[in-house]
Amino acid sequence: MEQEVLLTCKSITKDFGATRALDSVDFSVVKGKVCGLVGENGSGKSTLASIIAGIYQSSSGTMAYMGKEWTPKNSLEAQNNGIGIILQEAGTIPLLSVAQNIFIGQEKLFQKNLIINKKAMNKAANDVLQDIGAKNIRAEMMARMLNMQELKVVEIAKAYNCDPRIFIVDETTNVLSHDGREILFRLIHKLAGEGKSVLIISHDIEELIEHCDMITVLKDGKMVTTLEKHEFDAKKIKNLMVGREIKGDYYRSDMDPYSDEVLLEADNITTLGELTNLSMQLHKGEILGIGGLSDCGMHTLGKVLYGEERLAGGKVTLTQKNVTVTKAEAAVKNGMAYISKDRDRESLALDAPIFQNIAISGLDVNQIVNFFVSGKKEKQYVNEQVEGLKMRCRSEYQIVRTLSGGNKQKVAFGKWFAKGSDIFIMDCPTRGIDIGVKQEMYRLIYNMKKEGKSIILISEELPELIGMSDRILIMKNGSISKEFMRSGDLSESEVIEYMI
Amino acid sequence: MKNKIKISELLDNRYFSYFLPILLLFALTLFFGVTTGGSFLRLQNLQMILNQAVLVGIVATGAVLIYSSGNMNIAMGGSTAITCIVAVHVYLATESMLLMFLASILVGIAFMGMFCVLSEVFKLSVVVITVLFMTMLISLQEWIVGGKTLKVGYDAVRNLQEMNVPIIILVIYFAICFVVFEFTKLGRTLKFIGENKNCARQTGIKESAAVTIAFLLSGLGVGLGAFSIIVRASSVGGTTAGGLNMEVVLAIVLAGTPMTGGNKSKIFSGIVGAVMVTMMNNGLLLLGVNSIYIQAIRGVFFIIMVMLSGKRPEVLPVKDMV
Repeated sequence: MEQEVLLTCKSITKDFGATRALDSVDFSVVKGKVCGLVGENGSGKSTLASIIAGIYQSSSGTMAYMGKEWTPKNSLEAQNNGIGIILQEAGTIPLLSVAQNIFIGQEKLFQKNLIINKKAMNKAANDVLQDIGAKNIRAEMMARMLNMQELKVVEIAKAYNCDPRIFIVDETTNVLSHDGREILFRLIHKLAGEGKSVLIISHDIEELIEHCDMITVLKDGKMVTTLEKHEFDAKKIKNLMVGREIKGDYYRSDMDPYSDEVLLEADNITTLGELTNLSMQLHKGEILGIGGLSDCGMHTLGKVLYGEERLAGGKVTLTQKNVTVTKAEAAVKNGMAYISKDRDRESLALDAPIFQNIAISGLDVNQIVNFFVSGKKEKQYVNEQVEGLKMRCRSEYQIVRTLSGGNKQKVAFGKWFAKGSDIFIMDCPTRGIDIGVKQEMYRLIYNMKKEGKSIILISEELPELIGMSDRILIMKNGSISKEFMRSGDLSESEVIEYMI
Repeated sequence: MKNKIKISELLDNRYFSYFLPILLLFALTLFFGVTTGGSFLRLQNLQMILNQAVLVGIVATGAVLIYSSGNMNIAMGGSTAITCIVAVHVYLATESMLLMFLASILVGIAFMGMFCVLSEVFKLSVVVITVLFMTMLISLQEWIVGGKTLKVGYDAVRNLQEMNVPIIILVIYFAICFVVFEFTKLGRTLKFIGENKNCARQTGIKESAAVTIAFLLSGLGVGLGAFSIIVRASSVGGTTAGGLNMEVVLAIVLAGTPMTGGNKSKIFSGIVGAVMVTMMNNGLLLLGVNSIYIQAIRGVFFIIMVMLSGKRPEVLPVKDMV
């Protein structure tokens, strides 16, 4: 049966200065199908989606949408013509309410004599939220009161409300909670069932295999191939993405022990929001995995251990140094490092160059004569990380915002590697990162363990926790529900039982 | 879109972005030189511009330290005015130029220190505190001086005027700030705080300490600026330093330091901007432009510079708003 094509891209090329992000890409969006778009970081997936959705304009090439030439000047024009996109970056405005965010650009629907009927807008927004199954979010709430996952659900509601013919989801699932993912995929299949098209960009191959009808692979800005459902095979897709066969162990394969020496201890910690009488220990040379559903409190635990969240009871102690951790300042001074799940907002200065982002952690060590910072020492300090971590950048002065997700994460890692921290708290360190960089990250984490460093690996990906951790603590409702030791026999289903 | 990307890439280039204000300064000089038929470039006129720019330059150089951290102080004018008044009173009581100088510095630093302490005590941002003080200090100036003029006397300051002391002060103060800003931990810390406060805190930076030192250093600038005003005018009145607030903000932004601070902040913004602002006033007046329109033109330039230096991401705004 012939498939009806809704949108076609022909020889789309996009240049950003000297960098060619897309190189003569031909691509089609088929009506009523869920299409996955995969590729390594920097392969051009998001750029292609952004061109279709009017955020960028192509340097050359043509597009046709529903039989007519398609040259959207901005995302609003695309939205008005039935192409909705949920962006990888935050796409909500914090100082507006949820309802205002959902109906942004459509305020006229509620306008009468220059006055916007807020009550009607809130009601309509609540209807949309209810429609998609977002129970915990109310239209009246200010966007800034919501966490990252809830904000993404608001974006989903916003895109859904536009009744899109083409619905684009750009690396959204990795920031969503379990409930959020359910909402999104329910919606995706509903839209596809109604004859609409969905384009999903994700690094989670298994997720794409489960939900997509076809998967298109991009590499270095070029189209590699499009696979139909019956051709789906995770290993094959990964090899096509990387352009070579992925060999060796993805995770670590050893059973190396760790020391008995306790470095960090949480004693009966309780927070006002999420944690209840939680106790745990981190040992020298240990990779301690912490898992659970997204709202189980594990992200808060990471912050508490680093002194970034206030405690209502209990304490966090660096046992060897006998220091109570109450502030990030004290944590850093005593060899701790933290990489936030919300990397762009908390772990990086996006508009600053790589240089400044890494050098900031070494102001004390790069000093000459107590007061002055040596530019030469600083350059060496930064370059060691840029080269050691194989960051893909024009130079160390490239602005971080312009890097791909994997390279941004390398900058966040590099800052702490350069400092030589001993205890690392990593909250979802491989979120939104392609498999090639992921493998590098896992190797790095393992090497850190071998060097005697201790790592707390907070993750929503069970295979990652099982594959990398010496010990796994599973959390549920703000407490630890189960502890697992490293074992080759440990299965995901065994662990999930203690999460839900 | 193509052009937009090119401009943003150019602005991201560290050398271009660093030296753009100086290029603009030269362009402005050339423009007024040509349009005024050379009268703008007369030595006497240039000297007048320099003399006027020095006072704004001193205060604005210190203010760059504060702005670079993403903070603002819009009570610079009021603080300078009250510092002038106290310093003149000290001189009138002691007839000692040295004590007047020391009083200027101490009062300037005390003002900025007070803003930081109040911000800590009341848990309000320093910006809010300075907004409150902006009008309070102007009222205080009115109340103390009223319609009178507090005179130091020309004889007392003649020597200092002949020695061009305000220019010497500017050079020394700029050198101190330049070294602090470009070569020390404090300078790098302030810029990083301006980029991302959350990230700075999580990297172990103590924001309050760095910002307090920046305020104290800018307090030194307020003191030195106040002393220079007295030397130049030999008196203090109810309108002394009246327009200084706006001139300082305009100077800093015109010379390329973003209102939001961060990596693109430049320590020479204070001086270069002060010269640019004074040049614009002077050049437009020479061209016969009405002073009301001059204000409007300055406003337009201000908006353009804020737009060029602003950190607007390609997607909807998220940064620093939560």
